[in-house]
Amino acid sequence: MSGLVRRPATVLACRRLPHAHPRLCEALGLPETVGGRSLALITCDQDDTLYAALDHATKMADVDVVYARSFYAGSAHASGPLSGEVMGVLAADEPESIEQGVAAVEFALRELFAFEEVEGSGGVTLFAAAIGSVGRYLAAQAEVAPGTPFGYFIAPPVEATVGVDAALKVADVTLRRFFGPPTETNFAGAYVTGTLDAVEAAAKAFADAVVDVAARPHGR
Amino acid sequence: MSLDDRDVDAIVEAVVQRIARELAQAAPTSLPPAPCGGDAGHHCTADPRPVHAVERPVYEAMLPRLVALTPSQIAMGRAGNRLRTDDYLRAREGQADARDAVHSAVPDGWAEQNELTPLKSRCNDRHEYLLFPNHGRRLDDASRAVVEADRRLAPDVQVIVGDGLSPNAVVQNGAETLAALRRALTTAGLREGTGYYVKFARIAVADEIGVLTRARATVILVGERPGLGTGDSLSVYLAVNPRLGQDNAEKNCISNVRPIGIRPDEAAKLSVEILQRGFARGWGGIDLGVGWGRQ
Repeated sequence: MSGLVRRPATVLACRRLPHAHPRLCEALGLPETVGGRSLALITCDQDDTLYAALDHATKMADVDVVYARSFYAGSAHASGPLSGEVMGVLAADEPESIEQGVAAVEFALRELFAFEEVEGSGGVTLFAAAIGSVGRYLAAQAEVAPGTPFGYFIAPPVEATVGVDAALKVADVTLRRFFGPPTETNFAGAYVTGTLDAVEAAAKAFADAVVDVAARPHGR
Repeated sequence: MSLDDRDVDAIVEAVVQRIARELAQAAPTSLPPAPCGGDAGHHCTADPRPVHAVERPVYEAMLPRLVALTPSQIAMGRAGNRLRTDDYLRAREGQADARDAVHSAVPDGWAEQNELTPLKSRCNDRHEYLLFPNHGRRLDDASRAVVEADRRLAPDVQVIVGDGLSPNAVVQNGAETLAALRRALTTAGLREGTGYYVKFARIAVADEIGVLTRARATVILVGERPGLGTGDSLSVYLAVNPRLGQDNAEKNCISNVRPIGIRPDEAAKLSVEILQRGFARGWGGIDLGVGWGRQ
């Protein structure tokens, strides 16, 4: 069976706005505050990896993820060298929290989360993260309580759909959201929750299924 | 006038009967709950904490948010410049909890129930343990002989449980955390060898056991020094390349493992991540970088 090779994400740009203009904050949907808000704008060449890293930051610093969107067609068709396939915005009441949040994002991208490529598949990649305790951002996306064990699975459409089916069959996890194609980057996947053991088993089943589809795309 | 003993007995008898009759008539159909400390074994519970008790707060909206962040007793208001009686009693309760935890004990047989071989440090009692920390950092001769006779040597991870400063924490959260850790180690393909339980243990007793078994790393679950109302908190200390006198900076710690803190399965996952990272690097502790364990 083919192995998986880690493909670490790269931060392409990370700019702080220590005191963003109130109208910009309003446009981003931030609640009005007396002191204004500090922001960090981060672009990255992997969208799901950054989403998971932004979520990690909500656990480690007093920051909120106020904006996080993928770009159409992904990294290979970026609007510029600093765009990648996603922009995320962290907001906090003061710049020091932003620094802590950015440090947590960088840590998570370096140590915790990455896409993996199926060896010898010509570029089939997958993202299968088992998060022990989900942060406030992904919890809100999946409409679960922060702190829930959380599975975040992404792959190309057929691979992901077969993978999610395998994950749900193998482990006692609940499907919270399914992302069917077409999405911005034309990947597919799911959020699942359950006990941490179940989520880890589901992540393994998902990855194994993706590897299997990559090796036998026609099922033979 | 003088009364003889028989008269006194008769009067007492009559009075007692009358009191009993009156009490029976006055007794409500159901008794109110016993006050704190009433019955033996009655568990003292304070009234539920109010959202806040600050009079005329400047930022009223902020107080519930702050209170929700912590089980600590904050925004309690005051009577003059002192605590209110209820809050004072609650603080006393929390401190009593902590003191109880320090002087509690893990029951005999707990180790065997959890498939651990029982050992003991050089301390002979709890008193010695508290007064002489160094005695809790080494095994007594009999325990050392048990480990030296162990044939399942050189495990990847030497698993140890110690009672530490809060045996209650081990009783309440030890079994679940240990089970989660063993599952996580198995899943990660790490060999654990013989598990040990050490009575009167300080963290560093893991170093001696790790050296004797030639383990690549040690993990010790130990009852945490209790604070106000935190008698059930467990810590996980991880050490790669164990040796005697290893500095604490070369170890990693996951603290606050308990129902309102870090869940056992989450602590187990973090432990394995830290160990794998440590094995890959060849060292552990703060040099693994900021962010490992909790920031």
